Amino acid sequence: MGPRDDRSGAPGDDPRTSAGGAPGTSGGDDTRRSRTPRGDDPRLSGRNSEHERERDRVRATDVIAEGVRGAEPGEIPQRLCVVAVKLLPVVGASVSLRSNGMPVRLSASSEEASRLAEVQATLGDGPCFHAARMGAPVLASDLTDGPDVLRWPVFAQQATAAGVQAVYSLPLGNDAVCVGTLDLYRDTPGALHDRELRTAQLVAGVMTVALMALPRGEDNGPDGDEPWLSGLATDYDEVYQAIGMIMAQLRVGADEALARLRAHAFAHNRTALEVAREVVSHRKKFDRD
Amino acid sequence: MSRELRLTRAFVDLADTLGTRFDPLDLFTRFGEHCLGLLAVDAVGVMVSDSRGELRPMASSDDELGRLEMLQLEQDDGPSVDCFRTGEPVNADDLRSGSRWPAYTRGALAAGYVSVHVVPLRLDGGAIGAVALANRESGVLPDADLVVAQGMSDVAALTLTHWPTPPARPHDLLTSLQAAVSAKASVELAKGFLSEYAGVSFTEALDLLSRYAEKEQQSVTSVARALSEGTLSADEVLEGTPEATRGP
Repeated sequence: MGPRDDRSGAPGDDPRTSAGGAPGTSGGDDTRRSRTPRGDDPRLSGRNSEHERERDRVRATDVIAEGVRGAEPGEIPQRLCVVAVKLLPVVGASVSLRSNGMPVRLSASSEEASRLAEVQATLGDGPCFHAARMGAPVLASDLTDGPDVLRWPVFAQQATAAGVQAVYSLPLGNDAVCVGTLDLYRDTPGALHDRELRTAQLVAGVMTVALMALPRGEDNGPDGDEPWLSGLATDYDEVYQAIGMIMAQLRVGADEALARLRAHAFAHNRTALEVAREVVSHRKKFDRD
Repeated sequence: MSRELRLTRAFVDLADTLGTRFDPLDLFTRFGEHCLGLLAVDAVGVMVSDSRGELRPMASSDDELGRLEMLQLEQDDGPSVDCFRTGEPVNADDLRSGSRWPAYTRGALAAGYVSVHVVPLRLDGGAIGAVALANRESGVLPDADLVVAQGMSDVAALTLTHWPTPPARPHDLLTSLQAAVSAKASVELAKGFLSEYAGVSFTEALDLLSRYAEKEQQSVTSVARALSEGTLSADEVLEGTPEATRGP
């Protein structure tokens, strides 16, 4: 089998890129909801009411827009850390970039949050390493006792000494490429409920876009709501395949290949998925300049 | 080998989390092979939920079924989507006579599939994914097959949560699920990289990855990650494979 041709569907028919929300956000068809009761079990997050999801999303988007208003591009990561603290039951937030597998502290909501990011980097261990390695959120919900203490004994000790009893680390980037982590610090033990986790992931998504836009100086600020977020809807095989192909075409790392894909899509007013499909079907090739 | 023995072997195999190559792709590849070997079905497709609670394709025994899964996600409509939403099995024994999922039905019939049965991938009473069993003939799957399909799905779901580490608490499962989705994405990236580098198809690229993983006694996911992070070179993976042309 050769590289696949375009899959069915015209460009732009992806509900995730067009509505900026989950599939079915516009449907609101309650008859299709789960018959089982839903609580805060994170595994059931797919079956929360569409209405609830939409309300959370709108509120979070408002707080984010308010939080970054008037910010210079370089200030946005720090502002988003402050936004995370405002939106979530946490006392601090920090953002780190990955450089050769090591986290590099970029910004934080406070001195204390910054210090905890530094502790993880210094120890070379902690929830942020695990999240980056797995490409998945890691909820270290109790650093005072139990499995999290066994997994990160030194970090747990340092965190609790600093008054932090739970840490949530969310990978930034997409499923295949981790460019950094957003780390959230809480002063009491407890997991993030599924609605909170979704909000945290939204902030992480905006942070990803902000970070990837930064070094390239793209002017894609949060004034137009959806274009800013559209680069995030990358959960298609073709996007990952295209990133890999661009890595080989340009002889660059995965993060740079992703940035180039996004930049090209942005410059040509297309979605990352559309460009990825062109790359996969050999209609677009990235050249080294 | 008696059916009983083959069933037992399949269940034991699906519960094995100790192999050095164990990862979500390996698990669902084996799962698909057992389904095809033990059930009267022509193709198997597995989707799992990511950390946002959205369904994502994980594995399919053929490309046409894989495309049908993507179609369901794009349309937000189809038997697997319904199964995941309700947590209940969905049976469509003759797609020609129904119009429940117009786009899916058109696509399925065009691909030659006439009936489909979907069982939920379940964990602790909730659905974490959906397993589609497609047939080129119309007809209801025997009850015994559906019971086996559900049983194997339940075991695979439980096994999945033990990757990368056994879960200690309910919310650790979310890390496992998203980690599985990310693992799949890493392999897609590595396929793209290797296919472009070596001038081979995605299928051949995946074969190269699998062969290298087997030789090195690693999981395909860890080989894919090493390639994408630049800690493993494409040349190393291609070493000793004369059929692959070397990179530019």
